[in-house]
Amino acid sequence: MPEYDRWLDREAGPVVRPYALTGGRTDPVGDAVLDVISVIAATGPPLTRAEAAKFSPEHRKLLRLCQQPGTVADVAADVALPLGVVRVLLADLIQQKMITVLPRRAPRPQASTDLLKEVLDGLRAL
Amino acid sequence: MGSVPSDGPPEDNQFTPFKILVAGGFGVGKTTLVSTISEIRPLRTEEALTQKSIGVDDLSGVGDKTTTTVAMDFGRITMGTRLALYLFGTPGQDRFWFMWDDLSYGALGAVILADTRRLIDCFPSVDYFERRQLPFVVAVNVFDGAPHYDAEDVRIALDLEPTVPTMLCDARQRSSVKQVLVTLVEHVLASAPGGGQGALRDPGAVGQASLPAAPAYPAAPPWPPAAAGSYASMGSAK
Repeated sequence: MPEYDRWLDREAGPVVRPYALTGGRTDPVGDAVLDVISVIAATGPPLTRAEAAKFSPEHRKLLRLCQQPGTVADVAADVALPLGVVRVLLADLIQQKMITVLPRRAPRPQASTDLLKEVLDGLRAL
Repeated sequence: MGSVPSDGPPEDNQFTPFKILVAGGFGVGKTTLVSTISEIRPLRTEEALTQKSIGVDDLSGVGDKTTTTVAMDFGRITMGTRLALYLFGTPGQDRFWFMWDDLSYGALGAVILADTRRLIDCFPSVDYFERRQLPFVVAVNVFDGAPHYDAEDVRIALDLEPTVPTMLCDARQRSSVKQVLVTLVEHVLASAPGGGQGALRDPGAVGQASLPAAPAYPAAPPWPPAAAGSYASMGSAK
């Protein structure tokens, strides 16, 4: 278990104020769109120990979660940090090319309809 | 792990999430509805951090302010390996309007939950989604002891377009919630003959370049609308 988990677990509540985690920044850097259902993924393998030292514990935790592609909302819920903070931290990682926002499916009209019909079938099968 | 996607077009098996908003007045059963049909997870939002664009220089002011962490719930319905439906309960209180633009961005559509005892609580949501041209359905959550009306009465009371589906539902019943979502997706499909791009409200369809740099927290949310006088007085004044 990484050592920081002992200090920042969910039950402990916010030991550090959220804005401190972002260095006071409230706006994500860059122009990547981080919608709540944007799918993000790490661009490389998990960090080595030496590489990890260059990142804050929160950045490292996010990077680890992004090894599996997931939505911003899922990642934010996993890391239990406020959405605004998570967006700022994710944007840092995008800037450093550590993670990437996966492109949305090509908006071909027919594909959209087909996907929606699949959603409908999925719902009916619930 | 070599699972890095290239910049090429998305593959057919790419994971595609869809987003549906669940709106309605405070205490109308939004969280109940989401948790009935999906595994619910809390999403924290930091009100003070997100309420306005606070410059770095203003940090001292932020330090003095009590930051409130607001939990917002969302649920996920996973369909196979590549499709998932995300349900976001929109915060009911009007001081959270700034989050609506963020949440409605790229959304498939919305469910407006209504309580016949407080039907007026729906107006802001109806107004918002009509303005955004986001397809929505109105589902009347049937509470014990609440006056019973037909879905059609509710349509008239809310002055809804004839095309907007209205129905009664029980947010605690899985089959009922399922029917609400099915109706919404059918409505989305129907309101976009030929499956136009607009129906999906897919940001990709618009092109990311056309988005504001910070779509999340518009500095001047267009809410509350001037028309909703009674609603605006609910709690925004300090």
